[in-house]
Amino acid sequence: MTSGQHTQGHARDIMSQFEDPNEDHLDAGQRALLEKTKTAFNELEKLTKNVALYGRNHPSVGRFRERFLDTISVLLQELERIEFLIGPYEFTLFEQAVYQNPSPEDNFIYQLYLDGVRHISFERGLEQDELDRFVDILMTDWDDPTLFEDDMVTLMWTENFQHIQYVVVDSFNEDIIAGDEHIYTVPGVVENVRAKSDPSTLAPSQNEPAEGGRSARIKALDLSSTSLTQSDVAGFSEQPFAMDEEEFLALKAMLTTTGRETLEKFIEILFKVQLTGDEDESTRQGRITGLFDQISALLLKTERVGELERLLRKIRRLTGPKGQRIPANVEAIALIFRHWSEMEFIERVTTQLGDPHYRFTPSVLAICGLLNNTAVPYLAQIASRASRPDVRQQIFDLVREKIPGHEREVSLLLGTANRGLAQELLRILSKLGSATQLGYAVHQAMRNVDGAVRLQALTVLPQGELQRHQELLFNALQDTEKGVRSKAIHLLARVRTPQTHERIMESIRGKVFTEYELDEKRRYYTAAALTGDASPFLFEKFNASGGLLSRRANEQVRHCAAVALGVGLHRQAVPLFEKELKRRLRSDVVVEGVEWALNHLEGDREERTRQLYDIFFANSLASGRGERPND
Amino acid sequence: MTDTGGGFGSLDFLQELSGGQDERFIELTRSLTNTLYVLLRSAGMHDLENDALIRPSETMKALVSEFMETYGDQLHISLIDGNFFINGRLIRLDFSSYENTRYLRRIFEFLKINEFSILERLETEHIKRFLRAFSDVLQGAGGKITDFATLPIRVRMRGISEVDELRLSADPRHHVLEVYATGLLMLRQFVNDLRKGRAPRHAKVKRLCLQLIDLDERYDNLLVVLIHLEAYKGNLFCHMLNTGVMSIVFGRRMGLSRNKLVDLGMAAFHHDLGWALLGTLQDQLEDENAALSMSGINYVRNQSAAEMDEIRVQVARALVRLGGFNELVLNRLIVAYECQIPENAPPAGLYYGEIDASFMTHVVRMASTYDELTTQRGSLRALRPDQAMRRILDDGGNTYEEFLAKIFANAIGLYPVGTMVELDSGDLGMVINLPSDPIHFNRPQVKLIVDQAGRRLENGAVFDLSETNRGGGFIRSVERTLDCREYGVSITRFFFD
Repeated sequence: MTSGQHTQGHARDIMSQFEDPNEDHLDAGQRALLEKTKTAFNELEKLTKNVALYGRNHPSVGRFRERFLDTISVLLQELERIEFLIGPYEFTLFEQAVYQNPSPEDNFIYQLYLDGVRHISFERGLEQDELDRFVDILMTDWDDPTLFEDDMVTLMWTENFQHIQYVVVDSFNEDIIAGDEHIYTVPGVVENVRAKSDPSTLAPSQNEPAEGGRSARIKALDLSSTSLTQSDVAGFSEQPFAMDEEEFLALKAMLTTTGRETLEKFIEILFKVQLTGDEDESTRQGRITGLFDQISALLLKTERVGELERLLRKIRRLTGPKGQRIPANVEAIALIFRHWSEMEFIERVTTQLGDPHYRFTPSVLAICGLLNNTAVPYLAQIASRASRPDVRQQIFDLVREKIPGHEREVSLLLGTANRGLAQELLRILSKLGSATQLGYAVHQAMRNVDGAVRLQALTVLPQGELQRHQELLFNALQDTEKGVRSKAIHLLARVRTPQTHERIMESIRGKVFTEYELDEKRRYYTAAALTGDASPFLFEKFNASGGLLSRRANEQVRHCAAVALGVGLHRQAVPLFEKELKRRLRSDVVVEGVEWALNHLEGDREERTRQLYDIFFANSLASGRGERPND
Repeated sequence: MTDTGGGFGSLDFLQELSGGQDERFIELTRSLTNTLYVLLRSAGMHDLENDALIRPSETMKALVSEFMETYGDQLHISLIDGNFFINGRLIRLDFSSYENTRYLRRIFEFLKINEFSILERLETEHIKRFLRAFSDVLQGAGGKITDFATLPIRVRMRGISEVDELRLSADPRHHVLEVYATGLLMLRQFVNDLRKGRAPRHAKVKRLCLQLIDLDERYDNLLVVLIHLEAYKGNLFCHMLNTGVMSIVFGRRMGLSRNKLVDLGMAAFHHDLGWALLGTLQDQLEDENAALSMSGINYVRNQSAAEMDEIRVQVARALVRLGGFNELVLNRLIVAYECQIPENAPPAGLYYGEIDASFMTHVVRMASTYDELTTQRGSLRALRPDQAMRRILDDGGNTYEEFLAKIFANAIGLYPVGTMVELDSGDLGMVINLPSDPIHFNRPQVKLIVDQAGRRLENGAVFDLSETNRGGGFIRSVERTLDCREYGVSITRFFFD
C-alpha cells in the first residue's frame, strides 16, 4: 500500500465519524422495537396509498386503519409512550429512519416539518378514533381554500388529542427582519418590558388631591426596582370565576341569540361589502355569485342545510332599510337567485334526496321553493332522484307551482325523461298548460324512446286541437308501438278531413299494415269509414277473393271491410251481409264482422257509439255474433 | 403552503410574487449548504491542493456572490435544534440535500460551532485558509476551529438566543413573555406584509391565538400586565395583540370552549385589521402610516359619524379582500364591522333590521377600549387600569352591553392587575392577580411595596383582600388607587424583572 492510499484511507476513516450511525449501536430490544415500528409505518403507507386511490370513504380503508392501529398498539404494549423525531423527509427512532418519503410534494412528513413539528409521540390508550383523526390530518388536502389559516399544528390542536403529543418549534425568528430596529426584536421587547418608568414624561395629574407630606416622602423612595419574586410567581394559582345562576342563564341566552343571528348579519355585511367597489359590472357580479357559492358550499359541506334555507330567506329581505329599496341591492338579490336557480346549485342542494332517511329533506324542499321559477326544469329533473314518493310529490307540487311561464323548458324534458317523470310532467302540463303549450309538450314527448310516454302524450293531446296536430298523429301511425298507433288512429278518427282520410287509407294500403293484428286493422278501417267515404274500397275488399293474400289475411280484410261498412252506415251492404251469412262455407272471422255490422246498422245512436268505443278500446268485438235486433 | 384562499378575487397574485422570489432563495440556500458539505468533505478526504476542491470552491464563490447581491452583505448559516438556517430563514432541503446536511450537522457538532458566517465576498484564498484550519482540526493538529484566523469566514458557537432563553427558562413569566414578544413581532410583520403588498401568513396569527389559549390559566394575570407595555402601545399591531389577549383571558374566565376561544381571539386580532388596507386615511391624514396607529384610526372613526356606515363597509371589505373563507371568518367579519363605531357610541343602527351587536363584538369592544384607555393618546394621559375598568363599568349600557360590562369587571377585577393601591392600613401595594372571589371582584390579591410607616419593602407580603377576620369583616381594603408611574414603578418591569 502506498502512503497516498494510506493517507486516503486514513482520511476516509476520519470522515466516517460524520456518517449516519447504523443499527449496530442499538441493543437487541431497540432493534426489535425498530422493526415493529417500521412495520407500523408500513401500514400507514398502505393506508395512505389506499385512500389516495379509492378515497377516504371506501370500505377497504377501514381495514387499513384498523391494521395501522393494531401495529401501533403492539408498540404501546411494550412502551407506555413512543416518540418519533420528525425530519424533513423521515420519521426517526433511535436515529434510524422508520418511515421515509423523499418527495417534497404531497408529503405529510415534509409538511409537518415545515410547520415546525419536531416530535410526535403516541401514548398507551390510543384508540381507533383518535388515530383516525390524526391520520386524516396527515392526509389533509391543503388546496382546500377553507384551510387558508391552518397548518398541521392548528389542525392537531383543534382535535385536542389525548394520546398523541407533539412538540413544535416556533417561528424560526422569521419575523425579525435583518436591519430592523432593536425595539422590534425579542431582546428589544424584553428590554422595554424591563425598562424603568420615567415619571418625568408624565403630565401632572388633574383632580387629584393635593399631595400631603407622606405621599411626597413615598414618592421620594426608589421603588423602580420593586418586583415580584420567584416565590410570588410560584404562589400564583388559577383564580376561579363563577357566575350566579341568573347571570349564567343570561349569558347563555345571549350566546344562543348571537349564534342564531350570525348568518343573517354575515350575509347583510357581505351584501354591503360586495356592492361597493369600483370594478366593472361583470367582475362584481362574478365576485358576488362566487362568494355566495362559497358560503352555500360551506353550509352544505357542514350539513347546515337549515341555515342555508335561512340564508336564502335573509337574502330576499336585503332590499334595503325598512321602507326603502336600494336598487343595487335589489339587483344583487336578483343576480344571486338567478345564479342559484341554475342546475349546478340545485344539484348540490338535492344530492342527498336519494337517502330516504336524510334529515334535511324539509330544508332542501324549502330551498327549492325559494328559488326562482326559472329553476322549474331543473327541479323537474331532480324529482326522480328522490327515493321517497312523498318527497317526489312535493317536488312535483313545486314544479306545478313554478311552471307558469316556463312550460316550454319543462316540455323539453319530455323527450328524454323516464316514464314516471314524463307521466307526471304531462299530467301537470295537461292541467295547467294552454292548449298550445300542451301541444308543444306532446310533440316533445313523442320523441321519447319509451312507448308508454308516447302513448300518454297522445292521451293528453287537447281534443279541440287534433286537427292542428294531425301531422303528429300521422307520424304516430307509423309508431313502432301498437298502443301508440291505436291511440293515434282513434284520435284521427275524429278529424274528419279528406287529408286524414287519405292518410289512413294510405296506411291501410301500406305493406306494414298486413302485419297488424286484426283488432288494429279493424281500427284503421273504422277510422277510414269515419273520416270519409271509403265505400268503394270497402265493397271491393269485402267482395275480393283475396288474390295474393293468404286465406287468413283475406278473411281479416273482409272482416274489417264489413265492420267499416257497418260503421259507415252503408245499408246497401246488407244484402251482401245476409248472403254471407247463408253461405255454406263460412269464415268465422268474416261472419263475426258481418254480424257486428248488421247489429251496428240496426242499433240506435247510443248503442252505435258504445260499439265504436269497443272497437277502439277493446281487442275484440262486442255484441258480435247472434245479437241482431229483432232476432 | 400559505394560501390566501382565492375566490374573493383579492390578493392571490401576491402569493405568486413572493413565491417567485422565495423559489430562488430556496435554490440558492440549498446549493450553498450542499456546496459547503462538498467542500468540507472533500477537504477531509483530499489534500487541499487536489483538483477535487477547485470546482466546489468556484461554485461557493459564485453562490456567495449571488446571495450577497440579492439578500444582504453577509451570509450566516446557523444550526439550531438540528436544523439549518440562512440569515434566520429555514433552509428548505430536498431529499439529497437533507442527507448531506445530516453529515454537515455532525461536522458542525464536531467543530463545536453552530454558526458559519461569510462576512464579505469570497476569494479562493479565503476558502483555502478556512479549509486548512478545518483540516488541521480534523487531524487533531491542535486547537479549536475558532482559534484559527479564518476571516472573512467566521465560525462560532453562538450563545443561546434570547428567545430560547425565555423558552427554556423554568420561570413561567419567561414563557408568557416569549409568547407575547414573538406574537407582537409576528403581528407587526403581518400588518407590514399587508401594507406592502406581500402575502400575509394567516396560519401564524392562528398559531399565536392557540398559544395564548394554551398558556396556563394561572398566569392570565401576567398576560394582562403585558397589555401595559408602553413602548408599542398605540400601534395597530400592538392593539390587535392586546385586544386579543384581553378577550381570550375574559373568554377563558367565562368558560368558553377551546373552539369558541379561537373564534373570539381571531375576531379580536382582526377587528381593526381592515384599516391597514384602507386608502382613506391617506386622504385624511398626511402621514402615510396613520392607518397603522390607533390615534390615526380613531381620528377618522370619531370624526365621521355620518359616514360611519361607509367606513364600516370599507373596513369589512378590506377584511374580506384579505382572502380566505371558512367559518371563523363569519364571526370575525361581523365583529370587525360592528366595532367600527365612534368611541362612546352604542353599537346601534348597524343593520337594516333591529339586530343588536353580537356577544363577541361587545367583548372585543371592551377589551379594545381597555387597551386604548390605558394608552397615551396625544396629550391625553393614559388612564390607570382601574380607571379604564371603571369607565367601562360605569358606562350604564350606553356604549357597552350593561350586563357584559359588569361581568367583564367581575372577571378582570375592578382593580385590574397592575393597579397600584393604597390600603386602609396605609400600606401601598400592587394588584398582582385576578380576584379569587368572584363576588368580591373589588378585592384582589395585592403585593405590598411600601409599609404603613412609609418604608420600602424589599419583598413585601402578598395579601388577598377577600380574606376576612373571625368577625367576618375584611382585614384590609383598598382606600384609593394611585398612578404607579408617579412612584417610578413600571407595571411590566414590576412583574417581569
